[in-house]
Amino acid sequence: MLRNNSYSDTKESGVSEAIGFIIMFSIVLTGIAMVTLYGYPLLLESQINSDERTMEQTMISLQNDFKILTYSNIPYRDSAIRVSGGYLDAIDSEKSNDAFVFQFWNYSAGLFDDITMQPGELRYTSNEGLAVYTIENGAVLSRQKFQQGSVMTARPRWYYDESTGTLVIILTKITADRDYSLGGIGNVQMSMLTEPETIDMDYAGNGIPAQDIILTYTYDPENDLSLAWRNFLTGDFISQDSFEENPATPGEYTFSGVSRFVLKEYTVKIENL
Amino acid sequence: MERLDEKGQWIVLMGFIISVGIFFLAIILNQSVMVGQTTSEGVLEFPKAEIRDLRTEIIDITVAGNTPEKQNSITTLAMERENAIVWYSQTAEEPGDIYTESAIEIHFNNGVTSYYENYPLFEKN
Repeated sequence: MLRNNSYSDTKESGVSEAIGFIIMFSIVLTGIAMVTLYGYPLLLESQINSDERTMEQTMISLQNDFKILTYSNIPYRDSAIRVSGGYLDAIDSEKSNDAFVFQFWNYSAGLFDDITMQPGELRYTSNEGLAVYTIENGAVLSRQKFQQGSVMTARPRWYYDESTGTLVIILTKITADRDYSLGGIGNVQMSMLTEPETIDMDYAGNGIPAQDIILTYTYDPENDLSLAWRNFLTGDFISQDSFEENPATPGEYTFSGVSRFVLKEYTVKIENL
Repeated sequence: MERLDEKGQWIVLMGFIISVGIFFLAIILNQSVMVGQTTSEGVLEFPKAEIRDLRTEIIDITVAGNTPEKQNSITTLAMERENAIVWYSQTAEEPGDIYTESAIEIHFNNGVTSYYENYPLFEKN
């Protein structure tokens, strides 16, 4: 075929420029519409998601701060955190609506003793999303709003030593002089100035047969973490032996065959948020 | 018609490759934050210093002469300070030609780490 260089002879068999412009313009508009309609909400959702995930990590590092205060006997701890996409509340132990009650045989007093512990909380609530993260009793627990069920993200250090038959329960109580709430960047200032209260019941060392330890957990209806605690207590996290829930009374757990029972209660005060 | 100048295409191509590269780097970076955190937690929680301290103390005590009071003190101290269960005992002495042999059994458990050691002890006759 011969090449023709003159413009007048070329055949323009396409559509006119105006129609071409309309087609291109509508494609662009459709693209923009799709992005605003589907892409933008998706982006927002992923933003909320990443906020919640960051917060989960923050809660675990806060739990680490608690560990440093309690297990390492350090009196003060100050850490800068960023609360993203929600707010962090400090709930004093007096105001917390859930409670742990331990019942054990007190051989020195000659009676069945009980200890009631309201743990207090550090609670993160997502603004846009559904996540609720709670630091309670040295554990990090997560839950979804308006839904039943909860999960323990990080465990407290409760354990049972098989070689000595010792059950060690370490409780962490959170106190605060007033209600604190934090959103955005801030400092969490904590202190542990009071000595931990220790109960050490050495049954085997005093010639007493192995005992049952009964724990009753009452959950807060507004922040129901009962499933997470149930799974922790009855699972194999404490040791191969575990607490067993009494079928007749839900929320009551028994650990049988304890030769020595050690209960330590630390009190951590939230100085400022 | 005039031919299109295709020499600039590599710029577009490089831009594309770099953006894909950055995307994957972002994914890796996102993962590494979590890995770093769990690793540092693991290091933090491992009670190296506690085990060392108790171990030297127990060995010194046993060499100097063990008593049930000392044993009780160690157990109470370990629970008080380190929230750990510790017990130890010395096995029966077996006399040999040159050395009398025995061993110290050390048990440590703080809920995260459980440690058991059988430390041989030789005493010259």
